[in-house]
Amino acid sequence: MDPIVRFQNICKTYDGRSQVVRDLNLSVERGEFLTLLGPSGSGKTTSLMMLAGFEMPTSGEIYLDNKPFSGLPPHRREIGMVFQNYALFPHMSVGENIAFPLQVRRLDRQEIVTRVRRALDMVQLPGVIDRKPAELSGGQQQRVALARALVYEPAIVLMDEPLGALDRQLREGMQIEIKSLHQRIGVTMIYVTHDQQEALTMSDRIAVFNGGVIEQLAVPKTLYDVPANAFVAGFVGENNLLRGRLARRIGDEGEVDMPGIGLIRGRLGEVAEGQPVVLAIRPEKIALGTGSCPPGEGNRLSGNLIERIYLGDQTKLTIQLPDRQTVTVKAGSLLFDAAEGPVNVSWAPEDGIVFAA
Amino acid sequence: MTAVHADGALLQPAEAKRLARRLARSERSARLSALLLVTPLLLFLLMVFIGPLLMMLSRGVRDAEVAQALPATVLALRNWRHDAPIPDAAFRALADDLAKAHTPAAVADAAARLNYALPGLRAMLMSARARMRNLPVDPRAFFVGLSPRWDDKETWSAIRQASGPLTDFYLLSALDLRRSSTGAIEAVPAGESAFVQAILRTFGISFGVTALAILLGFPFAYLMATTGRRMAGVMMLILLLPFWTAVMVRVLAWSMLLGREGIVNDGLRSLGLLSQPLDLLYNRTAVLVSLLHIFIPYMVLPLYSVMKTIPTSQMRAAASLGAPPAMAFRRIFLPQIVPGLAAGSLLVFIHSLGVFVVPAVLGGPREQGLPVLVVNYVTKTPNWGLAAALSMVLLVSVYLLYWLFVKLTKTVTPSVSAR
Ligand SMILES: Nc1ncnc2c1ncn2[C@@H]1O[C@H](COP(=O)(O)OP(=O)(O)OP(=O)(O)O)[C@@H](O)[C@H]1O
Ligand SMILES: [Mg+2]
Repeated sequence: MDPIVRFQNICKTYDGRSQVVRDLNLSVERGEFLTLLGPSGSGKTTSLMMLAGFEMPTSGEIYLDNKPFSGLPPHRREIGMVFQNYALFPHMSVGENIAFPLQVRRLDRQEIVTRVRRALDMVQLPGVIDRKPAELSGGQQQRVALARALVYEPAIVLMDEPLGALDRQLREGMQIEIKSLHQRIGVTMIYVTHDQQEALTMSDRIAVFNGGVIEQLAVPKTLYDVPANAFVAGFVGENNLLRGRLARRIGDEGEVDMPGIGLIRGRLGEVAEGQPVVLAIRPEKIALGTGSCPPGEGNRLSGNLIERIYLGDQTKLTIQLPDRQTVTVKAGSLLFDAAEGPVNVSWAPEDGIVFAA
Repeated sequence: MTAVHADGALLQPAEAKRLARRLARSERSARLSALLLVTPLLLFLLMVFIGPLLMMLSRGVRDAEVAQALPATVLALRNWRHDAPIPDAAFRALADDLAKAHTPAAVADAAARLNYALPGLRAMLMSARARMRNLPVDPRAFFVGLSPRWDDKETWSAIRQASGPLTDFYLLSALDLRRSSTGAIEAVPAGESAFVQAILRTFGISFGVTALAILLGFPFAYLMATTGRRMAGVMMLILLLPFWTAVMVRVLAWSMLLGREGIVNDGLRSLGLLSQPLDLLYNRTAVLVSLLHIFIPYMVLPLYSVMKTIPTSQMRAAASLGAPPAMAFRRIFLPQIVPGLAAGSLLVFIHSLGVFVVPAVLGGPREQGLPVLVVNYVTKTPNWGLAAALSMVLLVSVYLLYWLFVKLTKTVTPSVSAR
């Protein structure tokens, strides 16, 4: 199937000196939930704005249904948009806000009324139709913005950190609602966030942005389990990044030499022998052994337990290695009782991944 | 519907009533402390502004001069109606009153007041006082002998109508109306007075200035609100620069610029573009231009401040929802800046209404509005009553405008100030 949106060799600079988006190539499949994830200033909003027509690419072309898109002004692009601050019209009631895109399209009065009601039901907000946006809570405003962007049934809906201003509980509730809404109505959603947890929860696919380029585009599980490089490994989920030098390649594994610690094995990315590397290992993959308790198989390291953080369902332990690097271990909350002092840690070689530093 | 409302628990009626009472109480105490905070300013205004203003305005309806100088006459005329013959008692009383006035100054104010109502009455009264050596045997013959107009009912009508203590004479005059000798309100004959014309002219000029200020100020404010920080700063400076000099100085500068020997005419002539100097001064255009120059900041600043509160994302949202720029402007931008537009218009309009210097210096006789007349009646040909009445007309019209403003901004944007 053809992609609904295709960015082709898109470059963007605002000031003529720094490239905010660099040679972006990205295809968005029809009906998918695609998330643009990345740190602040990585070009996510800029990409979204180019798609919506508020910014012009410096070079390259965006295609919608294989037709070039850049000549079209924003109001003729038929793209729904939910802004970070909602951008509701304060002088209009909730009903008028949602009716606005329908009035613009000159639907007849009766049709508008029924559609507005349906949209409000859809975001589970009946009974606020006559209120002004200022009289709603943040979460309610967010839903109104969503209803307004969906009511005229655009094929694509863009959302720029729509949940950024909400508290954690509300945010998690809204994540689920948006996701189920997406599954119900089958609209293509492009979603921007810098919250990796949110991205993992909601997305069909995630594009990880960094410095104006896509570091990796993959489904959440792949992104988490098989990050393409050190940046993605560090940005998506928690990871210990241990520095060393690649000593030897053995098949698809490699031995990393860490001075003062020894040789550690891990799965290999694309690196050459002798190069400085980073070994990424997730905290929950590390087993901890204290005192006489024997550590597991595979890579075995000894160090000092220097910090314990109680997380409720889990304990986060920080262990300092002989070369002063630290590793974080997540373990059951029982281990909170572990005494500070010498400990052993171990993990299976295939759980660690070696990237070029 | 039972359990829950959209945004909170549904309350039992009794509980709700108690809650409402508590809310009212807490709001009342908040209002009270707010009132306490503005008390100093209120007292200050009362003392230096509202008090003197009321005193000045009261002159527009007060009528004490005649009653003070001619008390017996006023008493004698109290029950006289215009359709009855002039009573002898009135002549006698007037003779009494005048005989008691030992200096001309004693009746001067009354004479002046009567002269407003009936030109020539001052001279009649003053000469009668001068001839009053001792009480005449037949006062009627004495007065009529001095001037046949003493036999005219209109003369006595004027005295009776001026006997106070309150009068609508000045207010009616300010509107080009008067009371006929029978007491009915009638229009002043055309050509005799032109206050209404002056009022209309004042409003016309102010309206013109306001319209021009919107026309020129709107794009300026828009640019200022949407451009970068730096540029906005420069624009603000340009806007406020004229404030650094006094209005009078600016007006004189305009007159130097636009005069027949002024910079503009000299320049054009030395370029060979003109043979005859243009009449740029003493006309409506000169007044409009200079008023606009003085008052345009009052339009731009309120507009700018409301435009600044509308985030770009709102206009972008409108576009993404399918509204072409013109429609987004009309439906999203314009309604939200109505308060600023109304405030700016009100400021410019009221200031233009009240300004005195500009038409006085730059306008010809056809540009002299109400304020010039008021100043005239205070300084040149003193008639405080009329000055006060004209001021009252100005004040009332300003208040009406303000009322309109409040109405307008309420109906268009009921909730902008909701939070
Ligand atoms: N209008 C603009 N003019 C100039 N530079 C801009 C403009 N908008 C963004 N930039 C710059 O472009 C870069 C990318 O910005 P962008 O808004 O796309 O980042 P983002 O990924 O959305 O970040 P965030 O997560 O903080 O929203 C930033 O360095 C920013 O400073
Ligand atoms: Mg952004």
